[in-house]
Amino acid sequence: MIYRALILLSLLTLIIYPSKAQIQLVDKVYEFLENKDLDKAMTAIDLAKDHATTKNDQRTWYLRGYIYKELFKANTEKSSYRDVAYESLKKSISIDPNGRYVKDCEAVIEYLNYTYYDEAIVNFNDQKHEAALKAFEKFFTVKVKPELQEYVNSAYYYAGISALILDKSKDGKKYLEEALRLGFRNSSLYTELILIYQKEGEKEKAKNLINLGSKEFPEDMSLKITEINYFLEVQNYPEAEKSVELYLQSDPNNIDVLLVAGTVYGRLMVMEGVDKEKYFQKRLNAYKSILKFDRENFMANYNIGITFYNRAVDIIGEQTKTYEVDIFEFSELLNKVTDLFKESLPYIEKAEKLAPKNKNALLALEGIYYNLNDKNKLQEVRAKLAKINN
Amino acid sequence: MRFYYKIILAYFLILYCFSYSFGQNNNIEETKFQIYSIFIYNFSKYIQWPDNYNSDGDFTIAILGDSKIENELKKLASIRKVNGRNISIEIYKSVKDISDKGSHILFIPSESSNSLSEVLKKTNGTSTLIVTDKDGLGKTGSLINFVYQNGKPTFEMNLQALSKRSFKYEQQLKAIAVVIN
Repeated sequence: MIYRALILLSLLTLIIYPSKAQIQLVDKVYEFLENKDLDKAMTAIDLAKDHATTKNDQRTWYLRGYIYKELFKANTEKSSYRDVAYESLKKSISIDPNGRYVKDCEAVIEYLNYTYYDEAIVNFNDQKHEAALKAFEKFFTVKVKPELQEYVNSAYYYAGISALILDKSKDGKKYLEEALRLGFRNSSLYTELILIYQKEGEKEKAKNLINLGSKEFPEDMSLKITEINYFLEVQNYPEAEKSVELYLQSDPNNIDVLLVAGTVYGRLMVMEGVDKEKYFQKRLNAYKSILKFDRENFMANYNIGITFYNRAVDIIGEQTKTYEVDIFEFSELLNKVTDLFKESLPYIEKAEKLAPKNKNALLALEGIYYNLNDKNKLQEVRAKLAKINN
Repeated sequence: MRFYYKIILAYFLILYCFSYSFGQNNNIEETKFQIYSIFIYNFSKYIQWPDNYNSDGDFTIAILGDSKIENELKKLASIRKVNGRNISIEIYKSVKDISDKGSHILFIPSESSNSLSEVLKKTNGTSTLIVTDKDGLGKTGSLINFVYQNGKPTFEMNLQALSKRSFKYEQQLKAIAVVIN
């Protein structure tokens, strides 16, 4: 405080002699800057901007802008320095008809512009998305040299991600679309946008992006998964099948995708005009592949059991579409159906062992025991279900 | 301006629900009743009613009491005929509602099995094919009784009871049935 008062006193003595004040004050500012004494430089320039002989001088405002820029550089937390710098530089340009300091001012402004980008990226990496988004949005308002346009493009992408994380899906969509429009390319840009379109029911847009993304990033796994999800969402199971099988070629032990494959084959199985037996086998194989390296996998055990069970149910259901089946042929079919129920049993029993309170597993057991007419076991499982329901 | 920075990506991996719902239907009895309705339709093909028995009008399949088989039989009736005759489904709330004229087939669900002797009495003198669904009823007078053998659904044929009501049947039917003499 005392130090600052002394600087002020020495500078005030300069102002007492107005004829010399302008030159001396500004010279002093340069001197302080050379000595990297920003505090003194700030005090001096703040006096100069109010003094009658210097307040209308473009150089005063340019210097003020420069000094505050330096102050901000030294302390980026204090964004008010940046605001003063901008304000001063703009003032300098506005009172500089001959453009003496315009280029210098513009150079400092350009530097300040990029500090928004830096600030945004630092906050983004620190997962401070609120601050990141605010800085990105500031950055979008400034003019950027054409050769640095790629940073603007990427800024739109990161701003979109920050907005999505902050649950601002409208802004997220807007920025990601802009990034795409500007030519920014990244597989997750496609992934995020496709998910947004899917969520909003914009199927056509999602489909177009899937096509574009797959062409540009044919090896990208997360994009492949998005593609599979999309095809499942729009119930295009033949395409989902292609995608899932392509994915499994490069990552054959991915449990999640094997489970999705099972679901896809299951959906294909109930479609008209398809080879049901083929998809029944493919579905079983997908789940059985999981058991090869994870025998205790609940979902795989449960789904194998359900696959056998549903096949049995479907075979009977098929016959009631026409009732044309002859009783002798039907008796043979019933042998097959009974075998399927029996085959389903150990897998569902295993699933129930792995997750004894899982209602779906118990319901499946109930169905199997009912259809095999095992009354004792049926009673036991119904007692367990009653316990869960209570 | 910084040119290098790390990127933290938010991955939205698989959103799809993997679990596949149990069964294609929520009604575990549905498959059983589909099987029974296929059998019942085949009985109408492999069993012969006396020529003069209810020979006009629809072929009638009756159910005693409430049973979910009703939906399956109605579906059957909507798409098939028996010897060119429409199939009609009748529901009897109790034994006293059973028509004196008799039906072609009367299905007694397991819940109504206790009424078998009463039903036999009430339909005595008609050629109503009584079909039941409870262990042991084949031996106690039911003409056809659904049973399970090692988990496989099949049916018992009580030959005496069938002939008492003047039914004729294809001999092949016996080949897949559990025969009770």
